[in-house]
Order: sequence, then structure tokens, then C-alpha cells
Amino acid sequence: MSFLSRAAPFAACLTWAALAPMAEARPVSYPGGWTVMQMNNGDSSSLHAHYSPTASDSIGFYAERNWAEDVQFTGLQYNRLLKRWNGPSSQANTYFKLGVGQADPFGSESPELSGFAAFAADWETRRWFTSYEAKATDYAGNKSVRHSGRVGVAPYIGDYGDLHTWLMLQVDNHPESNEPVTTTPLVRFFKGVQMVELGYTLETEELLANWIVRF
Amino acid sequence: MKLIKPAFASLAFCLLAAPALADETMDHSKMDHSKMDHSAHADMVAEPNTDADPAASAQTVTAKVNGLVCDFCAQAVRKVFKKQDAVESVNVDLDNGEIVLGLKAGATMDDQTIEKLIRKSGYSLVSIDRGGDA
Repeated sequence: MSFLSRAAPFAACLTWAALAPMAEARPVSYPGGWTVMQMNNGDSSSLHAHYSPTASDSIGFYAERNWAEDVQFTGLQYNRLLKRWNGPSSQANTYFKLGVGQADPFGSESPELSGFAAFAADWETRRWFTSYEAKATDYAGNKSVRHSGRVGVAPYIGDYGDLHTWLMLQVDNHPESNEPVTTTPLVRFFKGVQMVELGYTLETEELLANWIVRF
Repeated sequence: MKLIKPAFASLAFCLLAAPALADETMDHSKMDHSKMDHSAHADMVAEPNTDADPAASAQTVTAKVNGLVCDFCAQAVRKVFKKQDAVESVNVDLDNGEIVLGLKAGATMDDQTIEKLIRKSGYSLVSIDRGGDA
């Protein structure tokens, strides 16, 4: 077997991962920390509960019910902090995420091996926030790529323990969708270990509701 | 007969715990000690406080840290440092990017350990200032 033929699957995985789209806030916690994320938008609802053995890794359960693609995914998700840049008043991160499990197409009795890979990046100060995520999914043979970006501003700066409020705008690109590009203004409330986001997608007239708790 | 031991234990607990509880619940800052008669104290002989070893005093350590931008960051640092036996309290000042550690009396924590724990939390140490007694 030549080097090229051996390297091809590995290179394909890397390429897939690099192109793979998606977006979640801080998928890795502190050593010994648990995080539960529950997210809902017009296309899907998902639940992700993970444990971080280190400040660079987390692993956990991920389930998604996707109405846009008529499929339900259940599996394990691994998140890796690739690189963090800590500044005097800012922080930037890049993440890699990988999910493996089974997908049950609606109405089908035969679940199939499925998975996803994602790359995410964010930069934030206490005033400004921006993030990008790309996620590629293969749910029961239905391949899809999404891109998502956010910008946000905090109208006031609170200290630790205060209620923090962020005004954000999220733009999603899903080429296979009837609405390939959607914009979602949202508000993020953040207090202590809990974060709640509420938004409204203008093009599809659907609500966004996300909730994250870390303990 | 079976009631004696619990009754005795309860009485002993009350006697022993009452002063401690009183100390916990009384707010001495609201008392006007200037109006109290302290003349009886004149006969008392001051004895050296053997616990007053400066090296054994509680200490605060302020660490300047890069990357502290949100409550999740603050929580991460608090959780990691609170697991340390030497640490009494952890306060995070997001405005100044500082962590203020209160060490237990007699406890110490060297710079290397502090840097290691901050790195373990996911952040970067800039400097350490040992402010002395808490």
C-alpha cells in the first residue's frame, strides 16, 4: 500500500473537519467541570452534556432532533480546544469537534452509523464578541454543511456574579436549505453558571432559544 | 438509663457550643466598648501569643492573569483553586484581571504552583503580588 493510499483517508478526515461547519459557546470547561447545553431553533433541537477532564478536552452525550433534514441523531461528542490566546483584556479560541453515533431518519426503522465534524473560532472581550463555526454532518447518508457567525456587544460591563447582557446578531448559511442565508437577532443573558439566549430568525419567522449551565 | 447518655451528650454539646455559637452570631462591631468597665482587666498580665507567628499568618496573594473575560472564566479559576488545601478564599476581579487568593493560616503556595493552577484553568499568569497578611 502506497503512502498516498494510506494517507488518503486521514487527509479526507482532516479536510472534512477543516471544512466542517458549526457554532456553540465554549464547548470545553475547566478540569472536572460539567456542562449541559440545550439549543433550539427553527431547524433543530439538541442536547449536549459533556465532562471536561482537562481545560482542553471534553467528551459527552449529544442528541439532535433535526426537522430540516427529517432525522434524529444520538451519539458521543468530543471537543478539543486547539489553541487559546489569552490577552490582557481578551480571549480567542479555536476548537475542533467530532461526533459519532447513529441517525434515525424519520419514518425509518433502521438507524445508520452517522457523525459530524466541526471547527469553531471565537474572540471576545468584556464588550465585544465574535464567533464563527462550520459544521459538516453525515446523518444517515444525508450530507450537509453549515456555516454560522456571530457578532455581539455588551451594552454595559458587569462584574463577576452580575447579570450580563449581550445583544447579538447571528448569520447562518445552509446552502441546502430553502432559506440559504438567515439572520437572527438575539439577546444573551449570562449570570453565574447559567446562560440563556433568546432570538428570532427573520427569514423563517422562527424562535431561537438556547440554555447553558456549567457546574 | 438509655436516656442518660443522649441527655448528657446534649448538655455537653450545649455547654461547649454555646460560646462558639454566640461568637458566630454576635456582631461585635455594633457594640460600644468605650462604655464598658475594663478596670478589672488591669490585673491581668499580658502573655505572649504563641500563635502569633508571622509565618503562620493568613496571607493574600494577588495574581494578574490574562484571558479573564467572563463569568465562566472566573468560575473556572475559582473551582480549580478552591480544591487546594492551602486556599481559604478565591476572589476574581474581572475589571482588573486579577485573582485574589486568601491562604489559610500557616499555609503557603509557591509561584510555580500558582502558575501551574492558572494554566490548568486555561489562562495565563502575568505576575504575582504577595500582599502579606490578610
